[in-house]
Amino acid sequence: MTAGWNPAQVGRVIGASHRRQGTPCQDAVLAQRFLDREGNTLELMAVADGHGGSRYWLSDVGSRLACEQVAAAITAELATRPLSGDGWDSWLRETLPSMVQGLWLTAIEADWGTREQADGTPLSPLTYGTTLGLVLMAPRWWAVGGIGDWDLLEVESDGQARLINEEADLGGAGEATGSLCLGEAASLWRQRCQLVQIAPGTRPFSLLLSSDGLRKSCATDGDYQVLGTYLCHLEAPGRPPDGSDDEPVDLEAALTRITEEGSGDDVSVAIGHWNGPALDPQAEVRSTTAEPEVPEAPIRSRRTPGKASIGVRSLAILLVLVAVGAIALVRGRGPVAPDPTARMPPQPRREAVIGAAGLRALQGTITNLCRSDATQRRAILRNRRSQFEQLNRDRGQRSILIEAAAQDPLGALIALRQPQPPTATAAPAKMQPLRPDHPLQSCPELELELANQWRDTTPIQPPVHQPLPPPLP
Amino acid sequence: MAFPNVRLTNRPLHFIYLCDCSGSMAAQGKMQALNQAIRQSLPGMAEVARQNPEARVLVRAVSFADRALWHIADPTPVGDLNWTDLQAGGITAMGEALELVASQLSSPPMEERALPPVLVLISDGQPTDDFDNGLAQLMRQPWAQKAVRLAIAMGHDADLEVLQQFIGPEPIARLPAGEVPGASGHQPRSASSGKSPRRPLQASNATSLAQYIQWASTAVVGAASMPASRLDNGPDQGNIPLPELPPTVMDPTDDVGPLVW
Repeated sequence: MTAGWNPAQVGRVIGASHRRQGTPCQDAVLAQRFLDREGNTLELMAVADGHGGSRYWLSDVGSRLACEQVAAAITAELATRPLSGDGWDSWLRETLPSMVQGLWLTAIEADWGTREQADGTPLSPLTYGTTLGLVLMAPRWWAVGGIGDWDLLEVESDGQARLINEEADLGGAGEATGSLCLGEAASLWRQRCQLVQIAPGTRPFSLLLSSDGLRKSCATDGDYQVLGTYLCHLEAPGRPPDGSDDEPVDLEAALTRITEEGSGDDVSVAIGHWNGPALDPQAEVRSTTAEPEVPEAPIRSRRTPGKASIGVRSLAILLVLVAVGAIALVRGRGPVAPDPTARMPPQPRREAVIGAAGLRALQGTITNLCRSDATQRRAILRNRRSQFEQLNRDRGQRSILIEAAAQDPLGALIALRQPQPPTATAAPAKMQPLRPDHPLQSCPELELELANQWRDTTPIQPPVHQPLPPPLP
Repeated sequence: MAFPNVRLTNRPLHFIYLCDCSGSMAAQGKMQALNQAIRQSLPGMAEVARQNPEARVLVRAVSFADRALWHIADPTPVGDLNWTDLQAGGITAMGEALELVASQLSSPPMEERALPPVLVLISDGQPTDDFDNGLAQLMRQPWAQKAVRLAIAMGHDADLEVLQQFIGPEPIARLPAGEVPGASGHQPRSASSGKSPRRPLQASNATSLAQYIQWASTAVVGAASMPASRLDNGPDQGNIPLPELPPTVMDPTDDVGPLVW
């Protein structure tokens, strides 16, 4: 696996309903690699979704041309502006939208002129109407923009997924969406623009850009996030097999199943993978200390994990936890009343602190893992096998991981759930009570899988896994 | 990796009749005609649903007279539907009917991924309750704003103004939706002439009523079932591209049957 971005992977299938009706796939998808004058690479992925219906009868052409015009615009810009240069944020926001729309209008006009149906009839751009979403992936940043009802999902290496870019409700109309053929396209496009700086040491993550057929095939956004995570894992180069005996599935087969069992719409996806270096907390601390913050004014910045990033600024809101923390175990599906008889298992006396952000991240991870199916949960935890083993070798890593909960909540969870060594004394742990409004809630399925993973990765005598205690009153 | 255990699902398409059952519907066989028209439309509606498996067509009905009541309360797959005759008698609580529907168009119980619902309001008279309040409550629901709202006026005593309010603004002259100004040389089209499903459909006899009901339950359902992104069509175009009306509407001289209502 190489560092930085992998070439984007793409997949596209015709919608089940379109196939049945004999209409073309109106989606287009593109992945392309560019080089600037300095030899730096820029990865592009784009999806476009032509509008359905007889009024938009050339929208399959319109979507293809939209993707091509994005590539043309980027080629032109890279001829003069190196990726290391300034002003990309401004160019992506202020220039690219109208440039692409202009190129697209020219391209569809040229296409219209070649058609018999034109025959002197003036071009109506809505004949070619299409959405367009794009992601650019540069060595130090990535950016997204476009118009229409496409979605962008970010999937962390621990399997956490977040919907980070979607179309705002245009209000009123049923399936209405923005389109390149609208006069206000550039303005709508700018509302979706986002440029994210990548800090040194950022852990691997994936970006899943998809046409609306994917999300609309899922009953809920939770299902969509799980499905998106799965698709990213399917396409992630170099990912180890999870060891299960499940049948191999390729991307196209998965997309076909999605449209057949889901919305029936065309489905297209483009997936980008950032292969950051693996997390090494000590190295990260040094790196973060030595490396200045990435300058400029990104809309959002990915932060490097490490002590420095969770230091003084959040002290005022830190909640103090003894190393094992306190997690309210949910028995069954809903929260249960605290068990007043429960006691913390004995723990080392090294205290760790988790900030409010860490608690939120931890709870988010726990919730996502509890919602995942067993296979996914197991796969996500297995991907952290090295972390389990490292903790087995050096329990000193435990507090470091716990303190970095905001940056690596899954690592913190694994550390929190590290069982006692069999020889440990039964000294009671010190513990500050969690604030009543911040109880962490787990589920039995996750607890069982954590216990299994600890059992499988502990070399000699498997320690007895202690159930998570309920929050103190 | 195994395909994850996620809920892939076709998208529900809620179709709701709002039927006037006031006393005037008992005259001239209107109630009988409405029951017959809806019952006869069901096989065609079921066939459209079968042809569009990506949409799950679910039917409900509200009757309104002295009070508004759910005639079919549960969203029922069209293939499972047995139409029980409505009975006429009482006044016209149309506003309350809209409130009743509004209560079911919030999320939940509406599903996140539902297709735009289809609401068909059928009336032969004027509301006797607070129609404006009912309509306001309905239109506060985003799903009502997204809905395809159709109205059928039975006879010439129907209050076309309130039916138009239910549908939304009348068509106005404008450029084609989504047109880049000046890009095509198109002139704003006039909507001052011709029939439109964006206006109340006037059924003057049992035959034309049946044709409208058939059209709404098949052609409109088919269009609403189509999974596709579209432009925001604007108030004159509605929330989905509506199919052409049956011939009786396009050309009133083709109307079938005598003028009886």
